[in-house]
Amino acid sequence: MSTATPISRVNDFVVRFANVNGSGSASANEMFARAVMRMGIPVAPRNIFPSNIQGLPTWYEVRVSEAGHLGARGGTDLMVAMNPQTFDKDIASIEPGGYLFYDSTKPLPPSKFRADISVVGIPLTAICNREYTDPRQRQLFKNIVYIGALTALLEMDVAVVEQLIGEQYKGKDKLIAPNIKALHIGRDYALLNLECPLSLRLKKCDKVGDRIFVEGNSAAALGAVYGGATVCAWYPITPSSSVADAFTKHCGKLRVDPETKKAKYAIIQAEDELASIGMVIGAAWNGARAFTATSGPGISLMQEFIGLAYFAEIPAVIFDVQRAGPSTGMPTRTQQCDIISCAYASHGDTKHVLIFPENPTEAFEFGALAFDLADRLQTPIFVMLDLDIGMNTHLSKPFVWDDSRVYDRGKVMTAEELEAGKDFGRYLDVDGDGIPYRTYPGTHPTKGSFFTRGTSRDRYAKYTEEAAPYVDNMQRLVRKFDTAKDLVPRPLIATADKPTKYGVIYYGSTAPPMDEAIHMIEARGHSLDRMRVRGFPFHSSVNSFVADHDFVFVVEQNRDAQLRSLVVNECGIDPVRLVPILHFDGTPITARFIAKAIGDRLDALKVKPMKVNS
Amino acid sequence: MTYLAKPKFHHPGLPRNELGYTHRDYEGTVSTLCAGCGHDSITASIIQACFELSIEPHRVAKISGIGCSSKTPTYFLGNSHGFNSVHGRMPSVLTGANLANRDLIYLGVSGDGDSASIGFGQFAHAVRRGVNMAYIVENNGVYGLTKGQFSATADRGSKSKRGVINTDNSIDLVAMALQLGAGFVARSFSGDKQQLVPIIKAAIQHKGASFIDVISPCVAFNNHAGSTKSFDFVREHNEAVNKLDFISSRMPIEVRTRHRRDRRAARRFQAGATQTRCRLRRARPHRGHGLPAKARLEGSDRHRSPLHGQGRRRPARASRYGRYAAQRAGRPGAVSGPRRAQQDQRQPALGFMKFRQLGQSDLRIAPIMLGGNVFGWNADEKTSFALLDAFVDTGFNAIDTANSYSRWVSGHKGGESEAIIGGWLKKSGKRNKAVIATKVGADMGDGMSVKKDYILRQAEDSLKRLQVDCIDLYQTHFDDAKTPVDETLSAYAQLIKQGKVRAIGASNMSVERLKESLASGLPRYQSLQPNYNLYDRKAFETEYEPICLAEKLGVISYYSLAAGFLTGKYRSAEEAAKNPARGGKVKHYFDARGLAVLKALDEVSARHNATPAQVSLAWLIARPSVTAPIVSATSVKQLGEILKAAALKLTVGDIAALDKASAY
Repeated sequence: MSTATPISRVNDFVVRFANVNGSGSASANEMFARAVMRMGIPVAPRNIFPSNIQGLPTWYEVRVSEAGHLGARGGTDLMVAMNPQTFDKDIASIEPGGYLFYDSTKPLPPSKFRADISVVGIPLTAICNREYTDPRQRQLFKNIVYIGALTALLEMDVAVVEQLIGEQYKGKDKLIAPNIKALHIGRDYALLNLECPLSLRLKKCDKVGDRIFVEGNSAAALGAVYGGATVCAWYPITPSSSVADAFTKHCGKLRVDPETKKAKYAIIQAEDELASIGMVIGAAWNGARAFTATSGPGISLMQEFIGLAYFAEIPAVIFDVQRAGPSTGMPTRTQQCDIISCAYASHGDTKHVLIFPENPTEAFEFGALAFDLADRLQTPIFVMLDLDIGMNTHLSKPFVWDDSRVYDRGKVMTAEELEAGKDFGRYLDVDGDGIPYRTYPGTHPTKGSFFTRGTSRDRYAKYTEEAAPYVDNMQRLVRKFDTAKDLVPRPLIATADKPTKYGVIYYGSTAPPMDEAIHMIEARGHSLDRMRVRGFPFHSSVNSFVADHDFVFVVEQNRDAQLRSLVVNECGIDPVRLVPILHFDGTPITARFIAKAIGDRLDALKVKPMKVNS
Repeated sequence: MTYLAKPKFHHPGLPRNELGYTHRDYEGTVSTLCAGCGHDSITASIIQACFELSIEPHRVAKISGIGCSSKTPTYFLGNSHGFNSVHGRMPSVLTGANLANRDLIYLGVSGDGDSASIGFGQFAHAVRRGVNMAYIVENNGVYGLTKGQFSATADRGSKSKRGVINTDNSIDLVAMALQLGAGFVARSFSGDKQQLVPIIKAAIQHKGASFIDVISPCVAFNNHAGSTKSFDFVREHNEAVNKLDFISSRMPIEVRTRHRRDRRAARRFQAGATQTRCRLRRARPHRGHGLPAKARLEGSDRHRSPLHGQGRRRPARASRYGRYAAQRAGRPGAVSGPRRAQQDQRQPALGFMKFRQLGQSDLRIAPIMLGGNVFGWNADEKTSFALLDAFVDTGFNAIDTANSYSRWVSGHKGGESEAIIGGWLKKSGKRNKAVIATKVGADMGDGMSVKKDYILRQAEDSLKRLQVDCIDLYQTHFDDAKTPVDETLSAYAQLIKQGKVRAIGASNMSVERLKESLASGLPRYQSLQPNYNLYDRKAFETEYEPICLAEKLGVISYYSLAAGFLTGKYRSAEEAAKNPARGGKVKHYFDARGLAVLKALDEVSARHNATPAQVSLAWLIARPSVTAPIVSATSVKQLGEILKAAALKLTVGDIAALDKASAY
C-alpha cells in the first residue's frame, strides 16, 4: 500500500514503458498510444531508444493530456517496468503516488520497491510460458499481454485496441487472432486478479479533432515532395535516415508517372556526407531542387561544400535532424546543438539561412518552403529539425497545401532573355537585393554560360584575385543575407495578459513545453512575453523584442546557448540582457524544467511584475 | 603568354564541323598554366574531340575539382557551363548534375591528387555507379600548386625535384577503374594527340562511366631526370599498343570477297561489328614492360564500349581488317577502313546533311525518307532503281516500304515494292548505305493481322523479297485492337533476338494501344509513322506528338506532301481530278484553310527561291518531334527537287507564317 496518496487523474498523466530494445515492444507500445488517440484524447508519445540493435534499455513515454499539452512534461505516473537492467532507476523515476506495473513472475524483495508508490504485479512471463511454447512468441506476446492488462487498469476501450490490431496486421491476417487472444489474456487476468481501474484512468473525449499522427521526419520528407524536390542524396545517420526513407516512400506514391510508371525523382545513397552534399550541389547547379538529410556529424563533414555553395551561390536544402553532440555524442538523444555550426558553417566569412520548425506540421510547411528560399536566395537552407520532432510521432494539425501555389524558382535568366540581349553577369546585383541572376547549364548555345567556382571572381564570374571585386562580392553576399531576413518565416510573438518587462525567446521543439510552461510561470505570479523564432537571419522584430524588455530568457536545448550567441552576435545586443535557460541532457526539454528554471530566476531576482492599476 | 587575351578573329577558311562550328568555337579562355604544361595538350585534345564529334558546346557540363588539372575546363568549351568544385569532389558534383539532367554530356576533369588521394572514394563510387560521364584524370604524379609533393600515382622509386625518392607504392587508377566496373577505361599520354583525341571522342560517346588516365608531365615539378612522368621518360617509354581512330554509330559494314577464307573472316568481322568500332593501323605486338604511358584500352563490354581496341591481344587482326576495308573500298592497298564508309554515308550532294537518330534506336537516318509505295506501281523497276540510286547517292539513306505495297494495283498481290528494293539492293550493292524500313499488318490476302504467327511468317517473306538478312526498321502497319500488344511485341522480340530485325516502329495505331505497347516491357517501338503534314496537323499534334516527345520516339511522317496537294501543282479540286492516281485524295484539301496554306507556301517559297514541296518538307524537318518526313517521287528529277528540302533552312518567321496559315 502506498504511503503517498495515489495519483488520481483522468486523461492527464504520463505512462512510461521500460523495455529491452529488439524485444518487439515498440509496436505494442505505439499501439497503446494510438488507442489513446482513438479515444479522442490528445497524446504525445516519445521513444527514448539506444544506439544499438538489440539488448540495451529503451523507453517509450506516453503523455496523455486532454488539455492538449504535447511537450514532454517530466516525471512518470505509471511505470511499466519490463526491463530488469533499469528496474531500480525506473522505480526511482516514478512520481510519488504513482504506479509501478511489473512482471511479478519472479518474487522481488520489498526493498526493490518504494513505499510511496502503488505496485501492480502481473506474472507476465508465467502467463506467456503457460500459453506459448515458442520462445519468440513468448516474448512478443508478452508485450500484447501487458497492453491487455493496461486496458483493464486504465479503463480503456478494448474494442479500439482490437481494431488497431486488425489494422496493424492487415495482410498478415493469421496474426490478428493470436494477438487479440493475447490482449484478452492480459485484460482478463487484470480484471480477475487486480483492482481495476486504477485512479489513473482514460475516458473518451473529443479533443483530438482532425489532427493526424505523424513523425516529423516523414512530414519534412512530404514537404520536400510538395516543395518540388526531385533529387535526394543522403548518407545514413541517426536520427535523419528516416527523412530519406520517407521521401522514397512518398515519391513512390506521388512521383511516379501514372502512365509510364517512370520515377520522376532520383534518390541516391551516397558514399558519405561529403558526396551527398556534393550531389545536392551538383543537381541544384543543374536546375533541380535537391536536398540532403543529415545530423550533426554529417554537417561537420559537409563544411567545405557548404562554403562552396554559399560562395558560389548554389541552392541547397539540408535537413539537419539534430542529435546530442559533440562528436558521436548521444546519437539517439535530442538536442538543438547544431545552431552555430550550421549558421556559420564552413571556413571564411559565411552565414547561412536556418529555419526552425516546431513540429511536424511546420516540418512539412518549412520543408516545402526551404526549396523556394533556396532558389530565391541561391544559397544553402538548413531546416533545423531535431530528434524529438523527427523521430517521434506527433499529434499534428493536418497539412495544408494550396494546389495553386507556384514554386519560386528565383532569378533564373532564360534563353529568351539572353537572346533578347539582357545583360547577364552571374554575380551582378541587378536589383539591389544582393541576389544575382543565374542560368541553368544548357540554356543557350552562345550566351549565359559561366564558370562556377569557389575561388574569387568578378561580377561576370571571371576569375580574379584583385581585392576590390572580392570585397564587392563579399559585401553583396551580406546584402543578400539581409534580404533573407524578410523572406524566412517571421518570429511569432505572444504577449502576456499583463504588461511585463520580461520576455522569452525559444524555437523548434522547445515550443510545445514552452507553451505549457508559460501557464506554470504565470501561476507563480510572473508574466512573460513570448517570441518563437522561426528563422535566421533574424527578422528586425527580434531586435525590437529584446529592446522592449529588460531581460529576455532564451530557452534552448544545448549547453552553450547557441541561439543566444547568434542573437548577441547578429543583433548587437548586450549579452547581459539575454538570460540562457539551457537543457542538454539529451531528453526533450520539459514544461516543468522551463517553468522551474525561469520561475526560480524571477523569484531569486525578486523581479516580480509591477502591479498595474486597473 | 597567359596575360595576352586570345584574339577573337580567325581565318575564314577554318574547317567547320556538322554544326558549322570551327574549333575556335570550342576554345575557352587562354590558359594560365605553365608554358609547356601537359594539361594544355589535353585541353587541345578535348577541343579537337568535341569539334570532331560536332558536340554543341552548351550541351556539355564540365566539372572539375581543385588543382592545376581542374583549372583546365576554363580553357576549353567557353560556351559550356563549368564548375570548379572542391578538391577531390568532382565525382559527386557530377553525379548530382547527372541526376538533374540526363540530356547533357558530362565531362569530369580531375587530377591525380584529386582522384587518387583526397577524392579516391568519390572516384571509386562514381565509377562503380556507372555514372554517364567522361572522367579524365590529368595525371602528373605531383601536387603542382603546392610545389611538387608526390601524389599517390607517383611511381615507387621515382625521384622528386627536390631529390626525394618515393618509397610508397603507387595507385593505378586504370586498374582501379577496371576493377570498379567502368565500361570504358583508357590510358594515354598528353603528348600523343593522335591517340588521345579518338580516345576522348570514344569516352564521350560511351554510355556509362568512361575513365581516361592521361599521363601529363608537369614541366615545373616533375620533368626532371629520375621522374617517371617527365616528358623525356614518357616519350622514351611510350609504347602505343595500337593506332586508334573513332567511328561513331553507323550502318554495318558489308565486306565482299571472292576468297572463301576471307569470306569466313568477313563473317567473323561482321559478327563482331558493333555500333561503334575502332580502326587499327600498323599495330605492333605489345611489349608489356608495365610502364604507365602506353596506350591500354580495355572495354569491359564490347557492345557498350565505343572504342574497341583489340590490338593488344590480337595485333595481327589490324592488318587483316585493313585489307578487308581496302577491298571493300575498291582500292587495293588503301587503308581507309570505316572512315571511308562513313564518308560514303555522309557526303551528300546537297552540301552538309546531319543524320538523325531514330528514336532511341541505333538507326541514324537522313532527314528525308524515301517512300517505296510507288515502286512497281507508278514507277517501274528501272525508274525505281534510278530513284533509289539517286536517293542514296545524294547522301540519303532511309527507305520505307511495306509488305502490302502495291497490292491495291490490279493484279498485284503485295510485295512488289519490297521485291524491287530487294532487286536494287542486290544489283547495286548498296545495302550498307541504306536503312530499310518495311511494315506488317496490312491485308496480304488473309486479312489484316498483327498476330504473332502472322508477323513471323510475313517477316520471312519480306526478308526474302528484300534479299536482306535483317530489316532495319520493322513497323506495325495497321494495328488490331483484338490482338494483345504483348503478342505483337513478342513476335518482334523474337525477330530481334534472331537478328532479323534491328528496331521496330508503329504506324496506324491508337494512342491507347501505343502507350500500352510502350509500357509493356517488351521491345519498344522506336518510331511512329503518322499521317502528318502542313495541312493534316491536328491529330498528330494533339494526340501523338506529346507521346513521341515524352517517349523519345522518332517520327517519320507519311502523306508528308498531302498526296501532292502541298506541292502546289494542283490549284483546284477540278485540276487535281485530272490525275487519276492522286486527284481523289487531294480534293478535300481545297477548303479555305488549304488555300491559305498554299498561299503561305507560295510566299515562303518565293522568299527562298524554293518550291512549295520543299518548303512543306522543310517545315516538317524543322519540327522538333519529326525525324524525317517520308516522300515518294516518280522521277529522278522530281526526287532531286524534293530532296533539296533537306538543305532549306526556314526562318522563325517562315515557320510562324506557315503555322498560322495551317492553324486548325
